[in-house]
Amino acid sequence: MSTPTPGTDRLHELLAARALDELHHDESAELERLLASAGDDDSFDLLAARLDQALAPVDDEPVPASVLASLHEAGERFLSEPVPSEPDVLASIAPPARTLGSLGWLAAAACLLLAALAWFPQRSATSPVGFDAVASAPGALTVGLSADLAGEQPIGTLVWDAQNQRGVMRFEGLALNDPSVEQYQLWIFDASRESFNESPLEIRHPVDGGVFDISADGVVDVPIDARVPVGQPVLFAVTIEPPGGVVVSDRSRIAAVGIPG
Amino acid sequence: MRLIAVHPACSLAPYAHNAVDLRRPSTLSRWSPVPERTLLQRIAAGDETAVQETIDRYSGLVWSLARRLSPTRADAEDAVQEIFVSLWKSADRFDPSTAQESTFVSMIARRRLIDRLRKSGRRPTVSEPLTPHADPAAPADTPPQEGDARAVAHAFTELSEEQQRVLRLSIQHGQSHSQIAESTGMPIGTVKTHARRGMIKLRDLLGEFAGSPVTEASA
Repeated sequence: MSTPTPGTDRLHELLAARALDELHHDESAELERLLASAGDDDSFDLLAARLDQALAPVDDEPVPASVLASLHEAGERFLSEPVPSEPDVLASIAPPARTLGSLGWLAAAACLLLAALAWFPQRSATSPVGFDAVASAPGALTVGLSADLAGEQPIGTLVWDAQNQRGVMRFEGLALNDPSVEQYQLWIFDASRESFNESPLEIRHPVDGGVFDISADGVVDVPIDARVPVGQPVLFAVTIEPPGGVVVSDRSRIAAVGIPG
Repeated sequence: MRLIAVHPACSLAPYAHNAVDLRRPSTLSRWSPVPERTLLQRIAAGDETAVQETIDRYSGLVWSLARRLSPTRADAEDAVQEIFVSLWKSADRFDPSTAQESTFVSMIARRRLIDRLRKSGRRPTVSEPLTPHADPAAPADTPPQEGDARAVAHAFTELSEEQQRVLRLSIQHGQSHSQIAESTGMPIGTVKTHARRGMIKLRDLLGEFAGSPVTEASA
């Protein structure tokens, strides 16, 4: 935590005033000078928004249909007439150097985005796809699923088409689950997102591959619903979680594991 | 590959006994998934479907703000469209490590609405009487909160009564400091001091100086 100084105290006072739209002309100039060294800071504007959300009375009035219709029309126009990113409405009091710095950051971010788009294959539509169709795709992975890491308790097969970002798990013998009590959740360990030294299990933030149920005996196909693009899968794991899945898994109940060969 | 029935039982409970123990080695921590991109991040990445989804998700929030911070209903209707266009254009500025997406939306909306008020020279009127006996800072009209809103509301109660009153009139009702001074009888300098110090104290209470991120998951 930084220690406030008289200079930062004054800066915070002016930022608070700006967030409340009570900054006088002379104070605007003073704030501009202070921000020249400190860089712009919208934390008080965000704080005002948070406070507004916390204090605002519940408003059940629906958005008028005419307003919604005009919004959707505006959305269509926005998409058909792409425009440059809007400058911050507060940027008028920021020094030019800051603006140039922001542009540089934006350019770097754009480069990273382009690189990411080039690296990750385009995700296909989420329409259901068959096991055989995925398995026959060029370059598709076929991974045995087992109840143990040694692969001695096979429980199914997973196929993953990296090009189209789609996959299917085929289980046989995986226990039926009561969705109101617990559900299965797939985790995809992606080495392109997080590196590891000895074991892919070192990856702490796998991709959520979706929550699913086993509702029939025999062979059951389950489509994979990867929430973000997967670059280099190095391990697939199915856990048993509370209904709806979890955002943090304690990994206490693992139903199946598959490691690409 | 031969597939075998390992756990034909209807309950998953017995399966836990045979489950792979990935809790070893002990140095491994829990898994949390790679975060999904937010609507605004998707817009910034060129996902056209996210534009319409923002309307579905945030039109109620923006409409509520516009109704409250606009002098007339007609002004509110005009403002909503302007806010959304501004939001879409600003999508690439959203950083989920510093704020919830809904907070960012509120911030953009507030800025637009305040800008419109400044240009028009008009402020919304407060329908509630602003006497000390009908203090707008009273909790009666405060909605039930959860997550971040609850934390903010709790921190808000740590402010002095005067600070709470001034900030509620300013932020929630869009009142200018001079309007607040007139309605409360406080000198305008006192209103200004309560507002600024209240905001700074609230920021301190919420640990903003530590730069703690606020995520949707925490809400």
